[in-house]
Amino acid sequence: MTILGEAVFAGLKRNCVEIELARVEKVLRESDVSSTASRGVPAQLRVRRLHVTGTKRYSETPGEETELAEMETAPIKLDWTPNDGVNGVGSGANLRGKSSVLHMTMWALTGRSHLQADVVSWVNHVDAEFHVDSVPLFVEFDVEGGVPVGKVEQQLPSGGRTVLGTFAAEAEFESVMGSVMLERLRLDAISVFSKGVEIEHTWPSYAAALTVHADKLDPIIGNENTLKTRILQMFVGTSWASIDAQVATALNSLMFERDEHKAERQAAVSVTAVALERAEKRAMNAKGVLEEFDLDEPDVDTVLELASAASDRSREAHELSLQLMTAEAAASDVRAHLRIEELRQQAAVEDAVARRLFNGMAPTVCPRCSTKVDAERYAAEPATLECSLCLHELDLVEHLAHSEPDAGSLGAEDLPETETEVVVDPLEALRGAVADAERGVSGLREKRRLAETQLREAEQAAAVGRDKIDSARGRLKAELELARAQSALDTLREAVTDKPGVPALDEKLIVLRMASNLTKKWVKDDQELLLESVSHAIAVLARRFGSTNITSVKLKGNGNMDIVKGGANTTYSGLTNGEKLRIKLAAVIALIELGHGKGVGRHPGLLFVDSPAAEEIPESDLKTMLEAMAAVAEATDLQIVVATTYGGMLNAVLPKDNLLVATGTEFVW
Amino acid sequence: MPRWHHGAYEAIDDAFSVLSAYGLAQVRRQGGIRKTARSQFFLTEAGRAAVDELRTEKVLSWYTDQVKLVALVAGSDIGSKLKQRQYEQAEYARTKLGTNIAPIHAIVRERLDVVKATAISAPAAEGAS
Repeated sequence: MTILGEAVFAGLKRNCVEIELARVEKVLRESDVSSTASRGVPAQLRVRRLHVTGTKRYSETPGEETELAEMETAPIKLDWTPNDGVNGVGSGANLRGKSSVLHMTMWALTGRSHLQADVVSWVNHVDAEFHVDSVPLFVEFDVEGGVPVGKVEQQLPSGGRTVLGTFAAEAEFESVMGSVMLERLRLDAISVFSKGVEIEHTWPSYAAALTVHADKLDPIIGNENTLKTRILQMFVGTSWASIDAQVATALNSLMFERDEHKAERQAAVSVTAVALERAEKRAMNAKGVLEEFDLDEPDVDTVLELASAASDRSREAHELSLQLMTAEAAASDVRAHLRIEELRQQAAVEDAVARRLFNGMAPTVCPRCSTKVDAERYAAEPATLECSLCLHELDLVEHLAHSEPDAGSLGAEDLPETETEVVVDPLEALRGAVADAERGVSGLREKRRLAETQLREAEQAAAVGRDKIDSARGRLKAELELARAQSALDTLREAVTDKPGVPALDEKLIVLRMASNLTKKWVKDDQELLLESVSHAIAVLARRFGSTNITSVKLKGNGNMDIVKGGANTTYSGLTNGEKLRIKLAAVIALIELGHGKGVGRHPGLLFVDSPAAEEIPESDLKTMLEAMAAVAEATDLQIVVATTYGGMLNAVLPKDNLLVATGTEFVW
Repeated sequence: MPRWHHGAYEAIDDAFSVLSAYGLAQVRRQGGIRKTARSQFFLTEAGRAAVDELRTEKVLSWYTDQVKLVALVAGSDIGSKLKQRQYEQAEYARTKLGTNIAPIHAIVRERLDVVKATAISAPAAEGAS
């Protein structure tokens, strides 16, 4: 459990937001928010020595083009040992290297060079000594082709040195100096989240804030507007400043993520809206196309059904034809049988009649040999039943009786009952069969006629359908297109109505917002008194620096300032550059005083003032400022380096040991 | 009926012997025993009486009707003349000796129909002129 975590949990509970403490702690931990806060205690940073060797090239006739070979060369041998209090670096003229001294000091201090490329090319070796809380740090490096190669060492109490880091490139140099200095000066890296990128400002940003440039008077603290609040909070030493920064960064990062998400979602919604519009249009078009078709016309299915029906009718007609053929063949057979039977019966009757006819005649001769028939033998025939010619048995029974059953000698009534058979006249039976067969044939013919009529109709319908198949296909295509378009539209509509939020992101946001509110309040509460005291000191210093009409100032937590000047309220931005310079210097010195006097704050007590006279500061005013600074420096533990072209004035105000001044057109180094 | 040397042929001896036995008809042949030059068939008085009876017999009267038709077609032509008339029909002429002659009634019927049609339409044509 952390103080911040518990406070956030309690705060959320007050606002009726139920998020478990463990979840709150997890969110804070995952957002890289530190769990503890500490009030800043100042560490003291001093420049003790800067030794630079190399060879400089310069032209004796500035303004004219000079060949490299014709340029003058001179060895560089800068050996500067600034003291506590106010130090002056001066020259009689511009471009004589006074600012370069500050830049080279900064290079050694931060690892980041702001020197001109030609000046870097002159340098062979740099040897610097800094003290942090009186512990000597040595930075030594050679410059090879503009690239620093060297090491950082710390002096041990025993007198020896230990290497803290080595470097062979500018980035490595900066990294080594960053880790050495931030830790020793008890400063935290400042994370700033902007436009989706989290940037960590480290030692060079703090170091840059140690310099007051006459041409960079905004903001009041440091040189970067984006960092003024954070650097002010760090230098003032507010307890929760770094945690507030961490929370703000996490919150900004989350807000950005959410905005991105929102933008993405909006983009998606917009894309969906466009897609939805397209889908609606497509569905409408498809409907329109479909409506152009005559719905009474057969569709493809109907056409296929018609063709299938025609095929079925054709098969039925064919089957009926086959049945008819078989039936006709059967009927023909029956008729043939009837004919045979009729002929047979006819023949039988004729035979009987003929026999009777012949039997009634008297044969006269043998048909073979023409021998006369014997009259006696002929007369004896009825008795002997022998042929009077060939003596074979004679059949004189009346055959005609057998050929007509109705006239038969044996009637059905004469037969015993058990022997009664149903007498079927084959002729009648065959006639019945013929009639049946012909009825069957006739029925089948009628059926086939109907089937053929249906077949013709079905074929005609199918033919009509085939003629319209293109239209039916088009209609089918249109129907399919409509179905597809409608389906796409439905899916999109469903997608549009279903948009889940991101609860995890919201929960994180709620926790971080609460944390941010709390840390902001704590920072404000904590630094309010400190800022009040700093503001008072600034007003006093500003007046001592010559801005006598400034009666009061109020430095605000965000790095802005309200000022009462000549009885009127104004702000820092409303001041003249000369006044800004005074206020800016006063603000830094006031912060250092706070640290020195109350042991609160993180300003390391080192200040560079570059070319203060460049901005409408008359020499006399500068002298006043310098004198005031010197007086403050006597009472406060600080080291100030002022670089100016007013070398003479420096000589007049500062002690000789604190001076590095070139006179006339001479170079500082 | 098969084709033989003198056209369509059928042995009539058995049938004729019956007529002959009852004295209804007689045959007289000219020429040698092995090779007959001419056969003559005579109907006797008894035969004529039998025909009269036959003509009135319901069941058998068709026979005398058929005979009338045969007599109508054949007339008084002698055998060789009848043979020529038979061979005018392609079916008779083309048939090999000893094989059955194909029926020609369908063709004959067609010819009859044509003749009938001509006979019916002719008076109408005259009437119109």
